[in-house]
Amino acid sequence: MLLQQAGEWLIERAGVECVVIYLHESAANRLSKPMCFGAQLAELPETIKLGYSIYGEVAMGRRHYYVETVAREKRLTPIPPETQSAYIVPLLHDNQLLGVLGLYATRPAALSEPARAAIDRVITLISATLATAHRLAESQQTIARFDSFQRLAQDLTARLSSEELLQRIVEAACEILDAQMSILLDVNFESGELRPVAWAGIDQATAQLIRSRLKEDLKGLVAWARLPARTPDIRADQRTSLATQAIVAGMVSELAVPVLYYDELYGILAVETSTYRDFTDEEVDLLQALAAHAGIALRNARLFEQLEQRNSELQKANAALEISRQQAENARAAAVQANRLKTEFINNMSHELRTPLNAVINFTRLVMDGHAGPVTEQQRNYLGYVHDGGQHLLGLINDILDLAKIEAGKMELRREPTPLAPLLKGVMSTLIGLTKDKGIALHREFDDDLPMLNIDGRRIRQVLLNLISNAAKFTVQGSITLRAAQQGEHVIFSVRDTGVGIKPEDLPKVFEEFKQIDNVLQETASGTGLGMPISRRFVQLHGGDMWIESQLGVGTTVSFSLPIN
Amino acid sequence: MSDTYAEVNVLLVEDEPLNTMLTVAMLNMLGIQRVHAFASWRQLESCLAALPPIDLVLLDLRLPGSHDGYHILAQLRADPRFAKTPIAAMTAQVMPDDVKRAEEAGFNGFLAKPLNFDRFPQSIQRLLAGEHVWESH
Repeated sequence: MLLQQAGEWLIERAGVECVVIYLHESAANRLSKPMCFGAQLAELPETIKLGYSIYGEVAMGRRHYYVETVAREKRLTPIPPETQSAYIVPLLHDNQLLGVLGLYATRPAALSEPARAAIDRVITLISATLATAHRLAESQQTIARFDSFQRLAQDLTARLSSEELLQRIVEAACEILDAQMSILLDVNFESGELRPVAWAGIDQATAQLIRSRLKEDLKGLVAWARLPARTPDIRADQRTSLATQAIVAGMVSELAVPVLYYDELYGILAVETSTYRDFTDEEVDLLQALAAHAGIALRNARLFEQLEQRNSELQKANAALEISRQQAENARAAAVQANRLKTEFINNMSHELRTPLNAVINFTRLVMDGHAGPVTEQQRNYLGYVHDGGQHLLGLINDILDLAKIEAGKMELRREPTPLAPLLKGVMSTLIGLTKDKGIALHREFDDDLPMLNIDGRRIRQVLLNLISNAAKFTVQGSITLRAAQQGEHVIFSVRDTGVGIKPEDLPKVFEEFKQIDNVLQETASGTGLGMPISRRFVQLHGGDMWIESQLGVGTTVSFSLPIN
Repeated sequence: MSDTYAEVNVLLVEDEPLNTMLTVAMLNMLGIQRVHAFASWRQLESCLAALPPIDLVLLDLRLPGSHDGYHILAQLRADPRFAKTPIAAMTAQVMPDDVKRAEEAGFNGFLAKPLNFDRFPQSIQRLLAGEHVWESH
């Protein structure tokens, strides 16, 4: 609009027949977009490289060129018919080349020296106006780019999927850089391949053709070097002439930048234009800013992928865990069932054995005690054996039942405040006969003022009877000592014998159920193998513990503690 | 033996003949001569009206059929003549749950089998005196 006015003005006022204006394309270092006013010139070249032909020389040299007689300047073509003289002027503003203007006249007076001086002044004005218009256009472009960036920024902050985001980025690249196409490739370091993930301005089939490999063409080099690269002429560029670079029909210039997230390379972002374009540093910066957003989006997409993968792994692990949980549950149910059956069995066995034992033990006593008529001494002895046998069986049943009760958590203690000294003396008097028969001394080592304990006296009595009769069993000569003393918050009881002792390796077996330890007495020790385990359990139920010390051939001491309160 | 218990009437329900014989013999030791023994609730039920006033009832808990010792206890307690009579369980079922159940059912005594020969006379005397006697194993 501005140039047309200028051209028409010059034809009207300066009296020239024709005005030609070329604009300078600084990026391509050439003149282009020729405009012709007045007489029409059909064969004006579309572009003129700086330094070539008259226009190119004027542009390069930035000097006015007056051709007084065009017939003598053969290089000046095309020219309108009957042209006598010509004046070729650079359009300059602030030392910046904006274009070249040519005037053609049929009358030499039109381009006389004073006329040229006037024309020069007008052209200075035109240049200044043109420069202002350029700056205005540039600032408008800047504003437009800023708007585009703002819209993109909104998209980026919106919760878009990575795919949508990448699509917005390539679209914005086209929009902001005024490009005809853009494409985002992501890089696979294992294969070295770059593959398209988002594109704008081309269809999918075309996009799929655009592939690259690290280092192999312009895009591959950008990825490899992690630096931007630009080419004003794709076809003339050596980097893009390689076989791997698919050249999209109609595309002339290309700018490609790496897509990075911090130091990590995710791909490259490229824009291409259908017109010759030497991308400015500002435009490189713009595309890199976009690429940075793409970097974030690609990184998020990859993190999401990893998350998905981990999720599915986690789900698999959960499924496996569920299976083992079910197996454990089944095993637990089976164990509960087995335990229930065992308890049932023990209850039944107890009942079924007790019924005949009731008859065996008590009928024997009836006869022994003479309630069924006179008995001889020998008959009484024999009946005594029957009775003892019955009692032994009953003891075994009671032990098993106690153990079953403890295991089932159904052993209830009947605690009551119990003075200890009478209980200990009672135990000793019960067993004094047994030890006397074996010729062993039974000593006491406790005071009468032992504290009162809140215990099930019957059970503790049972424990002490068991410990002392055990000691007696394994002692041939010497003594058994029952000791009790307060020690801090506990009363410690111990039964010490001068018996055969226990081998160190056998000590742990003492508290195992149904275990009897080989003894050097070479005689089968009677007993169920349940006495010690049950005794320890009773003590533990009271909140105490039991332990054993022994030296082979010297003796054994079994001790236990009961808490005071 | 003493004549203190000559007039005492004991009702016994026990399905095992050997145990019936034994209990009768052990009661006889105490001088108790009048023992009315039945093997089941059905037998007892038909004779209940004809029984003299009963001073002590001894019930086996596990009996054949659905009429076990607990059933008989409930039946007897419903009868005004037995409302205050000492009734003891005499059983080989001695797990804590069994003992607890007997206590809750309202028995006055619990005598575990095998019976304790030495303590039995005292237990019977105490039951007859209206005491609560608990002889679990």
